[in-house]
Amino acid sequence: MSHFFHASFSFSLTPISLSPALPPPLPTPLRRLFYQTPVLMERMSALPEVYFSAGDMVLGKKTTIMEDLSASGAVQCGYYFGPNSPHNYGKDLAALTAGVASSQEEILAQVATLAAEMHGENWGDVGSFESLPWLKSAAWYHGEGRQAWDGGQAYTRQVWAKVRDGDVCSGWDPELRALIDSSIDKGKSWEGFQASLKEEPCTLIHSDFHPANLMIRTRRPVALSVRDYAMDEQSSEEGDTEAIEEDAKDEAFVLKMQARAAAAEQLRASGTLPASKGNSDNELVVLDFELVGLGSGAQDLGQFLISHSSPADRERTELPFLQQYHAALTTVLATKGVDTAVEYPFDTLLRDYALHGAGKWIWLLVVMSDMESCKPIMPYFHAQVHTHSLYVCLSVYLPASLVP
Amino acid sequence: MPGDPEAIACYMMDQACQVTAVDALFNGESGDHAEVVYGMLSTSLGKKVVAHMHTSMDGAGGLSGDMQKLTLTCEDGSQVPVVVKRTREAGVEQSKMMGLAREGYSYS
Repeated sequence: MSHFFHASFSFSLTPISLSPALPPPLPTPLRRLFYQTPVLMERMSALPEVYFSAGDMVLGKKTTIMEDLSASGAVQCGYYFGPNSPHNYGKDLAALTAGVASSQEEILAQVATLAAEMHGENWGDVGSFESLPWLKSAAWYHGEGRQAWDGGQAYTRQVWAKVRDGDVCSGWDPELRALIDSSIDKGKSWEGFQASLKEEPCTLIHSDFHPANLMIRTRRPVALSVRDYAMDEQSSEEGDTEAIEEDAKDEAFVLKMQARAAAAEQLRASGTLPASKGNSDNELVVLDFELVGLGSGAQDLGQFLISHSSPADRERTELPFLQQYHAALTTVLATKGVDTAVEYPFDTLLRDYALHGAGKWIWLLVVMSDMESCKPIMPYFHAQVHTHSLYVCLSVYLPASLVP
Repeated sequence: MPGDPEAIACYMMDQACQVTAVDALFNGESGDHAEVVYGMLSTSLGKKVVAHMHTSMDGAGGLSGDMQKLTLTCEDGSQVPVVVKRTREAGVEQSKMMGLAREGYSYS
């Protein structure tokens, strides 16, 4: 087995009997996370089925073979957000969205609930991710990775110094420019950064959570194949010590997940399980986990709203989106004994949405300004951030230490 | 030895070799590399894959990836469309800097 590639391919010398239409999902780390709780198990269809995957962080390469979602009629969610975004320039959006009857409003409602479930189920659970050190920012939450953090800070300062007075940024809003100047000048020390991580709730986040990284499709029968998965695992090659050890672990895992499935069934029967899928005939699939990691859940929300929506649409949809997210988060966290009224009130979500949602985008504005491929579309992203109500929100929630 | 079933089976046991085979298929090669990938996917799909056809997906692939659609033809005559996503050569440095290969881990 290669020591360079962390990968798994469920190899078997014994043919397994499976429905050809529903191949078993590989027990990927993401699927394992989703299997952890009844709420997320209900969402298993939100992850694509993957037949092979391998990665090497040192070489910077990855290879994945996954289901072709377009074959199941799935449509990229960004197309429903209209022609405002550069992602959609020149595209026949009516034709592209003809396959699934949906709307920006429906997608936002589903995304709010899905995000709340993903964030809520992993809320504040840094310790459970110790076995997944490749998650983005994971090292920082364990007090490690200072060199990379310092490098990132230096890189941002260097890029801003280079682009600040250039063609791309010179026309930016003066207050935004002053805010960036101030952030660069008064940025946190490593110690201050570490202290802030301990003060704020963290969870598993997608980190590239924009509408083009989700697809929507007509709901299909759920292939909740714990049994198939068990068959697949049990058919691993005999005689391979490592495989046997893995099987032993996986057998326990499958038993645990079967118990969870039974628990989910009971919860559904009693009506206790949140209606995670809503009443829509459609379901979402989340893609592109290149940046999956730990951080503030609000970062995902900010990226989703700022990326595609026109400022007018955002004004209309932003508050209901955040309210729905908070309501769903409250339901999920209540099952974990967390009372959001005390520990994460709506005002705190708004603060995080401003600091981590807008904050991330302001940082992105700086970094993207130095990328040749992004320069032509920077006026769009500048407008998205600076006309955004987040920017107003930011002026309310910005720490005094960063006020220009 | 080209076409040697044992050699192909051994190749399928090694993950780095599996990646090499997928890369070769992505680049339009066939022969033993294709046989290795067919074997991998036959196991996963539960039916024997005997042929494939490429379709380009220009512009898709996220921050550093290239994507390609493969329509697999199975022994029973059915067709299974899958998508291959891998790091493009020009994106390797960015991928290293940002740790983008973690996606391969999250799905593996």
